[in-house]
Amino acid sequence: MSLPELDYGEELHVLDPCAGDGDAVLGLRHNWDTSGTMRHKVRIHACELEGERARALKDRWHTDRPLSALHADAFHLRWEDPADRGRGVDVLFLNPPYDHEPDFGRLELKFLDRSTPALVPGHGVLMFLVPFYVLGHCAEFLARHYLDHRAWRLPDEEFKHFKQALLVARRAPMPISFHGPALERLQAWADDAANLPVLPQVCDDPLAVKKPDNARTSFELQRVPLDITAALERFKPWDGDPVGVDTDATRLLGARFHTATPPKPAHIALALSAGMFNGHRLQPNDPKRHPPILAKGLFERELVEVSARHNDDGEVTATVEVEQPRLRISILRLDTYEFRTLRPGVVPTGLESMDSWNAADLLVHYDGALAQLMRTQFPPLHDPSDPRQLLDMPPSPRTPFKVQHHAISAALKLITTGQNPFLVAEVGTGKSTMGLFIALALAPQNRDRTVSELQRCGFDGPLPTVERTLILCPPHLLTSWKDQAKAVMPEARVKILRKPSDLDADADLYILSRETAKLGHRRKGLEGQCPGCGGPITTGAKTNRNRRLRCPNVRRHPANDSARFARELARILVDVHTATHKYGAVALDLVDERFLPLRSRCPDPEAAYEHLRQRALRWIERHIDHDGYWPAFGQLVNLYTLCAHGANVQEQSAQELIEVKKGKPTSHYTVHCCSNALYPIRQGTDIDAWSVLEDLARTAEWYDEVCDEPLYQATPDPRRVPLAKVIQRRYRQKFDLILADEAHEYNNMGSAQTHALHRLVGLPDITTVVLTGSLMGGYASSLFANFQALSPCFRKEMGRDDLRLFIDRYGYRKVLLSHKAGGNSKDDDKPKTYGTVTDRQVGGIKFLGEAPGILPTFLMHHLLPVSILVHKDDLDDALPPITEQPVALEPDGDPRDGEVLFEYERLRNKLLDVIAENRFTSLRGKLLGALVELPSYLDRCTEDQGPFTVRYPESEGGKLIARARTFPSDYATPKERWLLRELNKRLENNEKVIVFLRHTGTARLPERLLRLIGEQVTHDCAWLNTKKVSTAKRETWINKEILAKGVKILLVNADAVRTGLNNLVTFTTAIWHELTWSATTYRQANGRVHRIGQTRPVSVLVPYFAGTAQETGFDLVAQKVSASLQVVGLDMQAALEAAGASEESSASVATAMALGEAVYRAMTAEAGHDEEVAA
Amino acid sequence: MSLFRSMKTEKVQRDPKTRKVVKTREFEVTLLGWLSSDGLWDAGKTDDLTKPIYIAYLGTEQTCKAFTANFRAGRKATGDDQAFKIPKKSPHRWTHRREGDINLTTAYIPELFHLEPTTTPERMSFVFMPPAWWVTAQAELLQDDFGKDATEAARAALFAAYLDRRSTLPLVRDLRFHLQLFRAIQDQKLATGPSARVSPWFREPSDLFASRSLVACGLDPPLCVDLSHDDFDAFLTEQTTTYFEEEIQNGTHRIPTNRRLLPIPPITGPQLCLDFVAP
Repeated sequence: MSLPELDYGEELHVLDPCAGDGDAVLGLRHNWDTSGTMRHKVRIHACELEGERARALKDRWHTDRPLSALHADAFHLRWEDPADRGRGVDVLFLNPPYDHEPDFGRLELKFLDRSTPALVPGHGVLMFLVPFYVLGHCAEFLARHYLDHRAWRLPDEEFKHFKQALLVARRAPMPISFHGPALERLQAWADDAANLPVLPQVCDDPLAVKKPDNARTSFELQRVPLDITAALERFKPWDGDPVGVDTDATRLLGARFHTATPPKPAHIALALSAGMFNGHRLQPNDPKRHPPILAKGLFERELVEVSARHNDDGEVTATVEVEQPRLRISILRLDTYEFRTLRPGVVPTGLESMDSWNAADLLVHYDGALAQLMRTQFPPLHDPSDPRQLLDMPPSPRTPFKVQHHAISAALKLITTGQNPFLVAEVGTGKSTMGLFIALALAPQNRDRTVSELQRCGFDGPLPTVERTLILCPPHLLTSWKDQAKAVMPEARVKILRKPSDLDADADLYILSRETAKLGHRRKGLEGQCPGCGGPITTGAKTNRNRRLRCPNVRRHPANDSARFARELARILVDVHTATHKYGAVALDLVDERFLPLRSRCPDPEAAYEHLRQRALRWIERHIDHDGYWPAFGQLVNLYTLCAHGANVQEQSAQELIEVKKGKPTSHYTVHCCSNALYPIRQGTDIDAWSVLEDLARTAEWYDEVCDEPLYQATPDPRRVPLAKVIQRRYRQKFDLILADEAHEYNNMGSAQTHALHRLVGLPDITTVVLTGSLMGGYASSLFANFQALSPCFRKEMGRDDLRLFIDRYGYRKVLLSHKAGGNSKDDDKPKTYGTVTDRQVGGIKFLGEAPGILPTFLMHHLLPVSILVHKDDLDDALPPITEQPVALEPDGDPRDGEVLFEYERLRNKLLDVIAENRFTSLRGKLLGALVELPSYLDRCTEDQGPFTVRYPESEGGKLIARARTFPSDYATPKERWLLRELNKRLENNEKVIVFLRHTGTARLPERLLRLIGEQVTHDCAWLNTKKVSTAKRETWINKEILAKGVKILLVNADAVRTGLNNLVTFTTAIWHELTWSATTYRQANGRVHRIGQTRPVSVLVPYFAGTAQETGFDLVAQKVSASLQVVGLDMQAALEAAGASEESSASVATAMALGEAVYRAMTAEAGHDEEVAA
Repeated sequence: MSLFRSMKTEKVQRDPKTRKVVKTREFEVTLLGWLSSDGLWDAGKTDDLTKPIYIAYLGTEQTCKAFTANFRAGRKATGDDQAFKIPKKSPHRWTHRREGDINLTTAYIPELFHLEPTTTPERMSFVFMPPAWWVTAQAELLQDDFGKDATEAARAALFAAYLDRRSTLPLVRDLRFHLQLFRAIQDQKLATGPSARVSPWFREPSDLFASRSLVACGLDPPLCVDLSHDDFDAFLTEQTTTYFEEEIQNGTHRIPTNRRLLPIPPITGPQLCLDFVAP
C-alpha cells in the first residue's frame, strides 16, 4: 500500500478497532514511513476491549504519537459519519477476534459491518486480516461495499497457526449492485487457500491510499456510554426461567398440562407419581366408605445393587448399582386431617382400612375422581369423544379407520400450534396411511378446506401448504411407501430419490431411503507408514477405517533456528555411510523418520539430493526476504553449496556460525562477524560440516507434537453423495413436509442416519411428522435425539449437548459405588481422603452408564403434549383378537432328550467355571456373550447343524472352551417335535404359520427345519433367505414366492421382516422357535401378522425348554416388553411398576442388567454357584 | 455513589503450568447483584472468595461474552470490595438477555431457584426470590380477595408452590392456607432472610448473603429454606390442623360451589346415617 503526498497540516487517519497493545497498527505505520518524515501525518485511532492490553496501548501514546487510544468495545464507538460530511478514516486495519456469531455467522463479519462506515467512501482502504475461509462468510459484504480486492495468504510459517489471509480493498463510493465476478473471486479464495498467493515482502503494484478531499479535517473516535438505568427498567428478572412466574398465583398448585390426545387410563399412575394431581381433592367412588382426600405422589430413585466386586480377600470393594423408581404416595384425609403414606404395591390389598392400603388400592377406590381429574388436568388438543372435533378428510380412494381419522385430526391440530407431531402408532395400525393423509390434507388443493375445518374447531394458527413431501424411510420400505401413496393419493407424482439429479425431478412425493440420505463415499484405512510423519502404523487398515483413527506418533519439531538449521544440514549430510561417521548418530537422530525411507527408496539419489538442497535454499531465501538480510542465512547457503560439491568447511567459520545463532541476528556485531566469516568461504577454504552439525545440535531446542494425521482416506468408488447434505445445501426450500418413518431408528445422537434426519428437519419452514411404532428403545437416552431435534418445548429445557443432564433428570443411571478400603459398609458414599498429607481420594460414585426406564415426568411434560398414541385396541372391531402363549417344554419320551439336557448342563457348568476363573483377570465379562448363546445349543445340537463350540470372542483370540456333543441328524428335539405337532394342528385348521428364527446366518438350521417339516408336515414350506433376497425386494419376493404359490409355512429371521411388510396378514400363527432378545423386534415382528388387513384371530406361541436359560431369556424379554408398554400407556400394572409402585425390585433389576449378566445371575443361582456377577 | 459496582476478571499474565506469558484477560462489567450461601451447595474449599449462588451483571455484548467466558472458566472476578469465583465444574446455569445494546447475564444454581427440582431432594433446600414485577401483577389480581394482604398472598402462593414441589406430603390448595404457611414459616425462623453478618470471618456456612442492589434489580428480598423432610412434615401437619380447626370454627370467607359452609362434611357414624329409612 502506498501513501499520498500530504501538504502541511494534512493528515491521514488509520483506525484499528481491535488494536491489542498496538503492535500491529504501529508496526504498519513504521513500515510505511521508513524515512520517518510521514510519521506525524499518519494519525492512529485505536481501541481495545481487554483492560491490560488497553493500558499498554495507552502507554504508547508517549512514544508513538500521534495516537489516540480508547479502552472500549468496538461496537460502542461513535464518530461523525463520513457519508454525512464527516471525516472518515483513510485506512481501516481490521484484525478482529476469530469466532462464530449467532446473528452474522462470523464475528469477523460483524466487525467488518460495524467498522466499514468509518472509512471514507471511494477513498478508504481496508486491510482485513482473517482466516482465509472467513472470506467466504464475508464475500457478499466485501463484494458489495469494496472494490479492487487483493488477497494473500501469510507465509507458511505464520499461516499454519491461524490460516490467515490478508485482504486489501478500497471502499466503494456506494454499494455495488452488480458484484458477481468479485463475489466469485472471493469465494474461490475462501474455498482453497492454494488459490491465494503468498504475501510478498514488497508488493509490485501497491494499492494507493488517495488523499481525501477534507484531509485537513480531524477525525474523532468517542466511546458511547452505557445507559444502565434504561436497561434496568426494561429488565424483567426471571422472565422465561422456570421459577413459576409464567403462571398465575392461583394456578401454581394443580396446574394443567395440555396434551395432544387424552392420556390413556394407565397414565393415571404416571400422572400421580409425577405430582400432576397435587392439591386436588379426590372424592371416593363410594363416599359412605371412604373420605375425600388430597393425594400426592412423589417419585424417588433409589439405588438397587446389581452386582458386587471383591478383592483377593473376598471383601466387597465396590458394588454396581442401578437407580430404580420408587413411588411414594401420601394422602391427607380430609375428615380427620391426618397424613398417611401408602405402602408400595401394584395389586390391591382389598382391605378396608386406609392404613393398610397400597398405591393400587388408591387407584381402585378413587379411580372415578382420578379419571375425572385426568380429563380436567390434561385438556387434550383433540378429544376423540367429541364427534364435532373430527376434521373432514380430503377425498381419497382409501377411507381411514375411525382411530386413524382421529389421529390425523390431532396431528393437523398440533401442526397449527407449531409442533411437530409424534405419531406413536402401534405396529399394524396404519402409520403410512395416517402420514399420507396429513400430507394430502395440507396439499394445495385441500389446504383451504383443512384450514376452514380447523377454524371450525377453534384452531386458527398458521398451517403450511405442502406442495412437496419428503418421506424418509428404511431402504426396504421404498416400494411399500410407493404402493401406499398410490392407494391414498393416486394422483400424486412419486419419485424415489437415489441420486442428486433425482431432486430436480418434478414430483409431489419424494421417497428417500435413510441409507441414501446418509451414505457418502467409502473410506479405506491406511497401513504401513503414516503419510504425515512417516512413522509406522501399528493398527490394521480395517481398524483405522472403522474407528477413524489418527496417527498417534509424536513428531519432533524445531523450536529455534539452531534446530531448524541442524535438521536441514542433517538431511544433506546423511547418507548410507552416516552410521559409521563420528557424528553419524547425531545426524540420524536429527532427520525425521519420514526422510530416511524416502531417501532409501529414491531411484536417483543425486536428483533427490539436489531437490532437497534446492528446497533448503528456497526456505532460507524466504526467511531472508521476510526478515531482512541475515548473514547467517547467507553463510548457511554457502555451507549447503559447499557440502553439495563435497567440500569441507573450515572449522573456524563454522564456529562463528554457531556464535551467530547464539547472538541476536540483526545486531551490527553479528553482521560484522559474519562478514568476516564469509570471507574464507568465498576463498574456497574448507569448513567441517559435521562439526557444525554437532554444534548446532547442541544448541538446538525441540518441541513434540502428536502427528494426528488421519489414518484413513476417501475412495471415489462408489461415487455416492449423502443426499441429506445435498438437500441441506442446495434444496433447502424444496420440501414443506417430512414424514420420518421408523423414527426410533434415529435415536442415537452419534449415528450418521440421525445426523441425516436432523439435517433435514432443521431446514427452514419445514414441518416434520414422526412415525414410529415403538418410540422408546428402553433407555431414556433413546428419546433424547428426536425430542431435541423436533420438540421446541424440549429444546427450551435441554441443549444439544445435554444428554448427560437429560439422563440425570429423566433416566436411570447405573453407577459404581466404591466402598472404603477394608470395609464393607457403603453407608458413606463420599470419597475417602488420606488426610492432609496428600489430596488422593478413593471411593465415591462413578457413573457407569444408563439403566432402562424413563421418569413419568418426561412423559407428562414432553411426550404427551406432542404425541398421538394409537393402539391396536383402539381399532376396536377392525382387528381380530391376538393371544400370546408361552409353551414350557419338558423331555417327553425319547431317552436322548435327557442326554441333550445333560450335555447342556455340562457346557453350562464348564462355562460358568471359566467365567468364575476370569473374575479378576482382563478376560472378565468377555464370555457373557457366549453365555447368552449357550441356550441355543438346545436347538442346534444335531450333526447336520455342524459342531457347537463355546469359545472366547474373536477379539480375545477365539480360544476354545468346550466342544458340545452332537446328536444324529434324524433325532428331533422336544421343541422340534412340538413344532411339528403344532404345525400339523394349525394346518388342519387351515391356518398359515410363520416361524421366527434367529440363527439364519448359515442355512443349516432353516434347511433342517425345512427337511423335517417337508417329511412330517407339508412341502408347502419356504425359507426367506436374507442373503439372497435384499431388503428392498422382500415384499415382492413374498408376493411371488409365498403368496402366489400358496406356501403355508414360512421360516424367517424376525429381524428381516420386522418393519414395513404389509403382506404377511395371510398368516395367523407366529411361532418363535428361537426367541429374539429385543423387545422392539418381538413387538414389531408380531405386528406383521396382527395388523390392519388381518381378518382371523392371531396366535403367538413361544416355546422354550423349561428350567433352562431359554426360560430365563423368555422372562427377561417379557419384562422388557412390559417396560416398553408403559410408555404408550397400554398396561395399568406395567405403568404402576414403571412408576415404582411395586414392592418387588428383582424384576426391575433383572431388566436393568445386561442380558448376559442376568442370564449369569440366573444360572449361578440355579447351579448353586457363587453369586458373583462378572460385571 | 452508584449502587452498582464494576467487576473485573483477574488478569492472567502467565500460564501457571508453562509459566509462559499468555494473553491478558481483564474484562470489566457492571455488577448488578449477587447472593451467596455456601451451606446450600458444595462450594468447594473454603477461602475468602464469595462463591455466589446467584449473580447478575451487565455490559456490552462483547464485554459480557469475554467476561463470562473467563468467569465460567473458574477465573476470579474482583469487585470493589469483594472477590467472586464460580468453580469451573459448578452446576450454575447461565442465561443471557439483550436489552437494546446491553447484555444482561445471570448465573444461578437451578436446583435452588427453579420451581421444579430435578429429583426428590434429600432436604428441602431452596431460595425464594420472586421478581417484583410478578408479585405486583399478581397482587393486583388478588386485591379483591386479600385487600392489603394481596402482595404477601401473591408471594405466599409462589412460596407454597416451591414447598409443594419438594415436600412429600400434600398441601391444601387454598391461598389462605398458603398465606398462613408463609407467615408461620418466617415466624418460626424456618425460612431466613439475608444475614446481617457481613464480615467473612464471622460467616456461618448456612448464612445467606445478599448484595443490597438485588432489590434495585427488581427482585424481592430473598428467603432461604433449608429443612429436613421430618422437620417440614411436622410443621406442615401442625399448620394443616390449625388451618382446618380455624376453618371449622370460622367458616370460609366465600361460600363454596357445593353450597356448604363447612369445607369437609364429617363422616357420620353408621348408626346415624338414617339409610335404613326407606324412601
